[in-house]
Amino acid sequence: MTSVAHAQEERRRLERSWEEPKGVVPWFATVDHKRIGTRYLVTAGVFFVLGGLEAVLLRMQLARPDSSLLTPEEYDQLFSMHGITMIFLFVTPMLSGFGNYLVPLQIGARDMAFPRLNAFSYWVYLAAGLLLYSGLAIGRAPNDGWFNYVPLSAQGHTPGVNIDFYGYGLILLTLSTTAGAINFLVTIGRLRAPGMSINRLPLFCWAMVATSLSIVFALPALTAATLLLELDRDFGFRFFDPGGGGDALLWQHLFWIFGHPDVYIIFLPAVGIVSTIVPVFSRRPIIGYTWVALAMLLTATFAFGVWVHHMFAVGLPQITMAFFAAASLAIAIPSGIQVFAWIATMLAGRPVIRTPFLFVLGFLVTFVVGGLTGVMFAAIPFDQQVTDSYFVVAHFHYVLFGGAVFPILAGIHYWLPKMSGRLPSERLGPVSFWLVFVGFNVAFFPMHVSGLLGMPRRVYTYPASSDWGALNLLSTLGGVVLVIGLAVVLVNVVRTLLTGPPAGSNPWGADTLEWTTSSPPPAYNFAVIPVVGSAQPAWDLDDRRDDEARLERGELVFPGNGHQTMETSELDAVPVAILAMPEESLWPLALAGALACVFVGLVADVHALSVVAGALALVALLGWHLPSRGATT
Amino acid sequence: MTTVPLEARVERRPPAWWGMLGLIATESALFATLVATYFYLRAQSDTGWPPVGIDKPSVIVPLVATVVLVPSSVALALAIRRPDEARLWIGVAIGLGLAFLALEAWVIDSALDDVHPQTDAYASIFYTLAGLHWVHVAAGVVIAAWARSRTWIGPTPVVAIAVAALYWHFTNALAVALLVTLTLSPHL
Repeated sequence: MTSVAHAQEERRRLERSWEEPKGVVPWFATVDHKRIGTRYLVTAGVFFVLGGLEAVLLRMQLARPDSSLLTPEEYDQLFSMHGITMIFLFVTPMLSGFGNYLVPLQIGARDMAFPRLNAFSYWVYLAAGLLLYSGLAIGRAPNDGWFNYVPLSAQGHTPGVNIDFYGYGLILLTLSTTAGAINFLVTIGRLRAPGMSINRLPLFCWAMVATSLSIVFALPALTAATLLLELDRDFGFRFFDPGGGGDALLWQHLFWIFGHPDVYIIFLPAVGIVSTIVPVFSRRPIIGYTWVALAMLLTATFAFGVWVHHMFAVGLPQITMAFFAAASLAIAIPSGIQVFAWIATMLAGRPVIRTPFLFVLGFLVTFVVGGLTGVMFAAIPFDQQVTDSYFVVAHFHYVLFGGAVFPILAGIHYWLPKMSGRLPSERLGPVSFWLVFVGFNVAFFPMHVSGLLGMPRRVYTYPASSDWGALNLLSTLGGVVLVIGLAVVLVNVVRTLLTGPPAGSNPWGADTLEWTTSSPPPAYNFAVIPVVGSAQPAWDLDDRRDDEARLERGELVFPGNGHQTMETSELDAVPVAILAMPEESLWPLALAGALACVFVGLVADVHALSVVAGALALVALLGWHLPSRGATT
Repeated sequence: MTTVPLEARVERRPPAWWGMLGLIATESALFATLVATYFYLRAQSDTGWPPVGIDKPSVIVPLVATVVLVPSSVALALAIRRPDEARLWIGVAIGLGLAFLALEAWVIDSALDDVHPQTDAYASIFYTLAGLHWVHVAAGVVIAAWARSRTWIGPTPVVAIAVAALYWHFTNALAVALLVTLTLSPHL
């Protein structure tokens, strides 16, 4: 057999091992990280639209003073769901979707370290989102903001089921997010291709490491906060009740010990996307790779030391506040390091302006503006003047939309060719960018002004006698332009999927491993496990030719029965073992479904359901761990 | 040109073990947050700790329960070192774990005669921490029993035992931390 024919035979054997059959049951049983990643992206996209519709309603209500388009109760539910949706159901899952799809590809592996846990994470996310929205569907959505402060959210002040959707829904969601984080850490730690030592890890993967470490240590604070809240609300405990030795500020501490790291959990994968796109479109490796990786880890670390800056107006001791003010100034430094690295890379390179790069430039401008107002907040006297005003709303939309949504839009246009095999339109792309960029700024910049003029946040209307009417109308009009821009993005995506021109494996001439395989990748990702010699493996043509030679000889292919990929050491990526990976399974769905029923029972106060579902969950957990063919444990 | 040797060179812990370590890391953060809550509420209390009207926690039975539990870590370490005797040593650990669960259940039950979690935040955090730990030890017993059941199905499941042992050591360390926090610190 010729060596080329031999290579083709190896590919056929891999296809037989890895391709999942078509049908309804396999659709629910998939463990393919690319399919799961795509599901995350699509589901998060749907939640983005829902969160956006909520925002449209809010802006319509606020466009004019003394408006009664929405009642106060409707407004409270809508603005709470807008925040909850965007933060918990859109931005982190969307970035997880990118992580899920790309991390195994970028490290030269064939799947995540725990494929069934990956599927489980998605199903639990979907269940938590449905649980939260079922509250909105019955007119009982959470209505105390996404931050849910006590005493308003305690049983005494908000006795209905609204807050219980929040508490139990979020505890369920944390299971998904935490499982995903552990999965990313072990995958990146042990499944990298031989030769991909830790200093050759793509920066997007470094970002996922920093994010996942943050998730592992920050999310428990939210779990604790919501657990204690529900114990108070549903079982009469006294954690937050001053009349019973409890403390209302305890909620704020617990929530923000989670909440501040959470904004970096949002921000870090996004700047991982930026650090991926800037070098490719500057046609050179990034300047300061080590600095950028360290900056991301430092950001994640400092993130745990600044939470009190959300509490500068609650009456804490001055020395406490001074420490956190200093830390909040310091945390700007690692972000600044990354910004300078990107600018240096662009100046030293020969930038090629395409849609992904446009959205990255939009990110740079918008995020820096948001970062500047953020640093302003670190000055306590200033913070105490603008706290709970629209200045805050302006700030966090600049850092969240700028710092996360622009990179997401960049990432969508950048990786759509890889995922779909088709190129997006370079005519629609720039049009959508400018509409989004202009619309966003017209919508949110005026909020700095209205905030400084005294407009409070979290109010359903404002009086005509205030100075805020024109600014609000301007914001609403900007919002309309923004929505049109996002609609053009959607049109571009759909058009690409239906009729886009073929992309080939590497239309951008990029440097990371996902671009060395076909578009879209085969089920097994790589016919031969690549051997990596630098941080830009797709640009190392000699190494890629060696891969091809190895394929023809049948080395590092592992086409045997079942799913096999390579395990390597943590620092130097020396080969250690061949891993037998699990194949399609319904246990993740079964366990996710059982857990969802536990929480439905808690929300609905039908505790018998929770007990029965808990028992079924235990059965599912045991079933999942039954030894299967090829298992080595 | 980059070369790669193909044989495994070093003995390493499998991914499952690292996954369990990740779970322990996040659970440790959860318990650390709750212990911090305990001391936060204590610092905020202006009626003493425990507040006036609530007895200080008893020491003897929790101390005995913890002393009974901790050697079970040694038993599981032996199960790993002597795989042929794994079934025996895991059984010993499970027995000690069940004894702890019984003793601790008695502690919680008799404390409920004195004060309910709804009485005061002191009681709320006490029962939450003690109860959550009890559930975690019970989960550890289930995991150990599952690993032990695998010894009848095939060759000694060394990875399953290592994973079960890792989790077990975690809940044992928690037992010591909670003995100090819940039982001893109010007396100091």
